[in-house]
Amino acid sequence: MQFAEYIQANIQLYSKRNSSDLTPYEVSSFVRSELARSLRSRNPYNVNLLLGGFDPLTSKPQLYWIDYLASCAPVPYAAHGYAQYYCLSTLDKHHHPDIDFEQGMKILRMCTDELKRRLPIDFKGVLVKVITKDGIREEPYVDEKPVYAP
Amino acid sequence: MRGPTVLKVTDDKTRQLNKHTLMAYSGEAGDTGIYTAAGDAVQG
Repeated sequence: MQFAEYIQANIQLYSKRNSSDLTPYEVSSFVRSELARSLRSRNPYNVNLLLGGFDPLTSKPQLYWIDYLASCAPVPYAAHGYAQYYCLSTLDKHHHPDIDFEQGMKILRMCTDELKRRLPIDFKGVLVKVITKDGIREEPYVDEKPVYAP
Repeated sequence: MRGPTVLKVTDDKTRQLNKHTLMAYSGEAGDTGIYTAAGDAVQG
């Protein structure tokens, strides 16, 4: 069974049993402990995770970086996979704690432009999901915008 | 850029866990659901 499916099912089970959702911090602890248990088994999962969430109690967004060695760290912004080699420098330069949604989308556009310029595989575009206080939605994103080389 | 490797156009590597929590995953093919152990593509 794949790891993400297993976690999803168990978090959903918790929500159903207790009629309340775990906060992102609590979810991150659960995911980390499950991954740590798997790491010490005969066939560990080799997955890296980014866990994003909105805590309705404190009204604060949270993002956790969990790697395949089951270390968990709260981070202000993140990228993983091949994309991190191209995106993190852009995010380092342009991220600021109190940017708004529009500015965030501008930074995302800078990231995808960089991927189109430099990624040595045929880059097809991105799927953008936004976590808000009302839930999670898919954000429409135009992939075919022309990219100019500097 | 064009290259020898082409990614699937519609590939959602995220899972919604509850109302306010989303998890994005990457890693080894068999563990992330891109391919099963039998080599069959799963999850469209």
